[in-house]
Amino acid sequence: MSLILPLLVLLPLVFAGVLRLPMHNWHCRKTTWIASLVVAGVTGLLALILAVAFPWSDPGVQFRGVIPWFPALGLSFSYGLDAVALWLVLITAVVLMPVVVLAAWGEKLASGSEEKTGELAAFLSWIFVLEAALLGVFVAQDAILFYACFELTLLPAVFLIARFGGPERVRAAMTYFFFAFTGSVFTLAGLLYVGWRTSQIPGGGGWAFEFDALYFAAAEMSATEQGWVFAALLAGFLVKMPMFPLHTWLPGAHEQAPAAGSVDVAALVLKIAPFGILKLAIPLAPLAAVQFAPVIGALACVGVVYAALCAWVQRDAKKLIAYSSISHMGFCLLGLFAFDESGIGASGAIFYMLAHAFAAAGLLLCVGIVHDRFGTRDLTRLGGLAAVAPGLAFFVVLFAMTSVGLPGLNGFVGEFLTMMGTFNSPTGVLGPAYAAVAATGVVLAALYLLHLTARVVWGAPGSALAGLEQSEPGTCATRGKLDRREFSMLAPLALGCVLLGVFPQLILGPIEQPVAGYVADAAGVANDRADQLAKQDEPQRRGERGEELLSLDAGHDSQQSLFLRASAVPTAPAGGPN
Amino acid sequence: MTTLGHLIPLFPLLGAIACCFVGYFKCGAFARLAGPLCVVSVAASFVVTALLAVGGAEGGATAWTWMQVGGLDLSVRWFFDPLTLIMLCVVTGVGSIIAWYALGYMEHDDGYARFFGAVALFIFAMTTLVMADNLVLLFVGWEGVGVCSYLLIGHYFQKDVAVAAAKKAFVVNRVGDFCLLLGMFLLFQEYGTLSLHGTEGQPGVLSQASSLLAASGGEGSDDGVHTWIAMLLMLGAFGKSAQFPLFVWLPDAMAGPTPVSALVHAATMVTSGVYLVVRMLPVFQLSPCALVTIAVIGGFTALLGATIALCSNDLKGVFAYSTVSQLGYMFVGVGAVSAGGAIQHLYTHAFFKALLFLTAGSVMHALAGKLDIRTMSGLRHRLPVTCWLMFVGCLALAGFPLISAGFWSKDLILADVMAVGLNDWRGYGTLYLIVAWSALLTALLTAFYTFRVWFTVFMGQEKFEMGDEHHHAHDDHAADEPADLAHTHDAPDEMPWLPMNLPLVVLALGSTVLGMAIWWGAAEPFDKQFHYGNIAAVESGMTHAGEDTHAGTGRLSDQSEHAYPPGKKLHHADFLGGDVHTTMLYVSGAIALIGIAGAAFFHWLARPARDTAAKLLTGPIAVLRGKWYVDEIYDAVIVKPLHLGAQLLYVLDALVVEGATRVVGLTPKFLGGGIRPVQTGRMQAYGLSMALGVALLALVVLIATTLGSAGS
Amino acid sequence: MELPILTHLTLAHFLFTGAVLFTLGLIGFISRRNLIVMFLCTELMFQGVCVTLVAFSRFHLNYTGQTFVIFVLTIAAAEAALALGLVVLLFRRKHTLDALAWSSLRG
Repeated sequence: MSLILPLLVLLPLVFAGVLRLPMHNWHCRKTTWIASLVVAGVTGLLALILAVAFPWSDPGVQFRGVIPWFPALGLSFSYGLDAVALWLVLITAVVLMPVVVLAAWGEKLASGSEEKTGELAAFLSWIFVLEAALLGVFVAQDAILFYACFELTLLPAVFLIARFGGPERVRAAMTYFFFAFTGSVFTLAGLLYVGWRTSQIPGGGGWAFEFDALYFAAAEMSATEQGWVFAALLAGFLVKMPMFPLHTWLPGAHEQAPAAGSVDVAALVLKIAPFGILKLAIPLAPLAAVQFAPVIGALACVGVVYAALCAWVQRDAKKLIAYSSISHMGFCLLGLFAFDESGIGASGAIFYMLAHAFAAAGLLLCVGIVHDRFGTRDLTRLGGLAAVAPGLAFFVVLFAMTSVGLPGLNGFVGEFLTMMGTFNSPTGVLGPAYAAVAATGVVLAALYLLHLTARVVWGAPGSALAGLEQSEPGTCATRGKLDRREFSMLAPLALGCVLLGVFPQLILGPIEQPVAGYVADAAGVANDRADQLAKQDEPQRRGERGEELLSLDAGHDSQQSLFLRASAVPTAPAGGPN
Repeated sequence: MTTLGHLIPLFPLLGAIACCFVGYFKCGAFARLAGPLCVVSVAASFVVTALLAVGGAEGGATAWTWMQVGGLDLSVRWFFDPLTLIMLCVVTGVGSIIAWYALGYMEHDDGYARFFGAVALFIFAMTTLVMADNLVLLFVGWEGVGVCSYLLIGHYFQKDVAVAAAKKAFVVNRVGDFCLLLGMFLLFQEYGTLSLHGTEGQPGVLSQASSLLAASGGEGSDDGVHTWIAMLLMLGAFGKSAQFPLFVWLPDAMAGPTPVSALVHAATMVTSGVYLVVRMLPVFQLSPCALVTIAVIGGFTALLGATIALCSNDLKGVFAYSTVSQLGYMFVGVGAVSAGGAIQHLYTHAFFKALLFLTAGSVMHALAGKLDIRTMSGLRHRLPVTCWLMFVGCLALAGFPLISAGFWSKDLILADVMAVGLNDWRGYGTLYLIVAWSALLTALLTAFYTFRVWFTVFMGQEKFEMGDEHHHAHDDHAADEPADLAHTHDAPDEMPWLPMNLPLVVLALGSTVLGMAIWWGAAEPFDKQFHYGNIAAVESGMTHAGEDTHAGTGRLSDQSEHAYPPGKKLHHADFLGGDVHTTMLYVSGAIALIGIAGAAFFHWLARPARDTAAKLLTGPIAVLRGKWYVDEIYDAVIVKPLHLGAQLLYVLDALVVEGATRVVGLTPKFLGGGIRPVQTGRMQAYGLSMALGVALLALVVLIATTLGSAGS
Repeated sequence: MELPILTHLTLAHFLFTGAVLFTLGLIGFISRRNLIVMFLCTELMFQGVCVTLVAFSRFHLNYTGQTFVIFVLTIAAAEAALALGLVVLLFRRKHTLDALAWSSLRG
């Protein structure tokens, strides 16, 4: 069973290579497309086999396997996955990849001029490279393998934008590349430091990069070290997420990317950031995570409101969705850094990021279809889709409502749980004020998404549609009709939105324990600190009882001692190079 | 027994899906199935409700675990008690009648299947709302009805007005929902659960709140968090139930088809705020000032709505503002701890307001979309059935003594709030008294504006203008009826009995004292549990009255404290020489008669006098026609600045934030510029620098070895 | 048996010769702009290094240096063929042998 995992990652990669072979077959669009569909399907099937074989009640990492690579440096292809990763794999391989391949057929890959033969093969091959890299990120159990795959997601995304995008594509791709690459260099530095740190543990071996070894080393790091490591790791993740004010690459990238490409970026590439934060940044630096949580929370709150307001005044539907993604990711961040006692926030954040994939992908695909049919994404020129394209209108409204966070659809569950976690966050981390600010995002989301639907779906036919209708009556209705391909790519997403909204426990149940495990250290630190803060107040309030309380706290658990030790020596460069 | 309850939301849901399915086949008779499907599904769920109500179902029924994370445990779990059953009866009962009516009203609409699909979905959401056992599931229904309302208001989506109104309704509701969400979070933090009734071994929010209340001796808690919870939940309720300051969406919502106005924006959805407060009454009672705030805002909104309705010339607009006003009454009722009054008024209001809207819809239908009452007069001969049906509705809204249902329910609220004021409950007596008197004033205005509409439209010289709305009926009916008899463009004619007028008769019967009789016969368990139960919980907090009666100097001069058993003390006091409930019957009856008489005088018998009066009062009338300019104020104070701010932010985003990141990107470029000249592109230069570099290295090595050997 | 002349020639002589050859080549490389001359100059530097290597080889009485020289000569021959080919190609492009014509790498 454990061989399925490497197979799962290698299959798309190998197929991507095959697509680039100078074979005559790839000159035929149809052959290329069908072959890709089959491979995407087989990959999905492999993921499903994994899901069936997976022991859902076990919170640990399953299907582990190690292929040595560079033992002297502690490097290995170490893989395995827990419920969080499995859900990500499932959504990537089973739902979104087939959808993206389906969408690729409708892509106008060369704007203006005649499309070159083999262009579709090139496009799809990058898509498959991206899939392989994403799956690699999800199954990696070795930090360097994780990082390699993390970086590898960047290349296909950049090429998808730079080669197949809109008129400003090169600039958008370059911006994206510089942002993401600059950030992830720091991530690598952080990982290397922790890897080196493993060799410094008394009785330990050389360098090691397996996650377990890193977690072990993390417990030995001082608060200062953790701070630096945390900042370094976050630099890469927050750019990818993206968090305000590091978000400016996203609207441009979305605006220029082809529809299928931006689905990849929005629905998949963004997801590796919260995944990385959950899996690396928080467990490797719990002290620092708690320390920085208020700052990150504040930025996330600002981002939620700021991006929502920016989305409201967009004219390009796709940019509007891009800003909405930024706004939504703010909720995800808040949940991750809530550190509430029962882990509601973190579980909610992971659910949110999974759910966001459906709604964002659905909206982007719908806008892609609108652009394809009516030649524009300009909100001032669209309108009245409900009359000419009821099917498409239905999907737009459904996905918009999911994105708004309508209860009963999957957007709500994550939004609710992240805000709940934020609200119940221990003193000194986040708290009701953060939740209140974030909750205004709920109102603003209604504002901008209803603006979108009002301008696209409702109203009188916009100038773009009216123009078409004028030149040839009845064109809009014929163009607006969804064909079977489009229906079959939107329907699974819509189904996912509803199903996961009604039965969120499918995801929440299995991920609860693993997620709680990742944030346990940080949550412990946060709670202990909150207790201490409470006790600092208490002696003043209760007079002589204070001493008694302080003496009680001497025999506390290991989390407490870790925190006390680390905060006692905040500046000591413990375990430095000498 | 309660497991049967799963069927109640299930039927409309299946109906909605079926409507969606048949609507997919746009052409042909298949889509015509949507209407009957919707009616049947809603009626089926009414039948189940009736079964449960007759059986007196009580208890919970869990469907499945919805979310369970950490300490949060949310199930899809229904709970049945008298309150839920009453709400269910109203929702599914009035719902099926209105859907039945809509079969005729929407017959020629393009979005036939879409309309009925949304209606069925609405009933699904509304039943979920009233049956939910935890607040988050309630929130599913809460937002679900919101989105159905959005879809239904925007039914005529080609009209920009409808689209804007739909958006406004949703966004304003969201502001309320924002508060409700925060309230839920706080509630969870405080009580550790969001389940209302709890399960075995785990007490729900309500029982915890009740025991807290009992522990405080009915005085409420001085912990500020309880006030916060109550205020946040209250604002949530105000959003949905269109109370000040969040009422602005409801009048605009009339852009939807009239059956929607009747069902969603009069009978059911807008009352869910009242339902929420009644449901959570122990939580509200815990806060010393929450209930009085609710009563004051409710009373204020009632007056505000009535004054605007006084001058509105839009047939549906009058009823819309009257809905705002009547909802205000209900909140006054809850604010006076009169769950009975509020829910009773909710129940009668559902009948008579639905009746009024549907008859208004009939008028509008007959006049091809004309709504301006200034263009109408003396239509009683043209539309006799509609005329007298609306008359029954108007009687109920005006509170005509004895024979109308509205009289009894409104009277109960008025008497209860007056009694609470007289008893000076929790020291807020003055505020309650002000509310009570303003509610009486509102009752006068209500009677006046209601009959102003009726007399204007149906009495006097016959006069009408046909609207410009496309008369869909024309083409189809021309085929099977002689064209000169029916449905021509130049004259209004009566609605057919089936499917339109007959449902209205049912509603009309419910609006009379008959509807009240059913309540008196069936609502015993509700009254016991919610009305008297909740009063009893706070009566001991009634310190002033208690002391007064004890000392024998109180207002209850001829009755000792023991005259009222627990649960009745708060709502009884001496008023104008008799028990407040008795005197209030006379007072409010007289007020209703005065109002009706005034309306008859000005708008039927002496219309010239009306015009003279209107000339004298141009200023105030202009303000009222401008609806106190609330919309304009909101636009200027909130919407415009926010939009401007958003645009500024976007400019900022494009310039500053992106500029800043660009500057960061440029730094290496400038740094690189410093050493760029080194790259001359000449091979000789490269060679030279290489040679020099090697020489330098050699020198360094030489010096190092020399020094090294010298050192050792 | 040693040749008499070598008794007067010490290692320094050979190293000096190698250095002179190398320096001549270097100066030529830096000061001339004709591609073929520059190429010849690099060959000259090669030979300077080769002389040094052989001298050391003799000095240390092992064959390492000489073996190395054989390699260098082989590669130099191959490289000469390649480099001259390249020069011819470059000449065909711009019809000049001036190295300054090829400065597109300028920063």
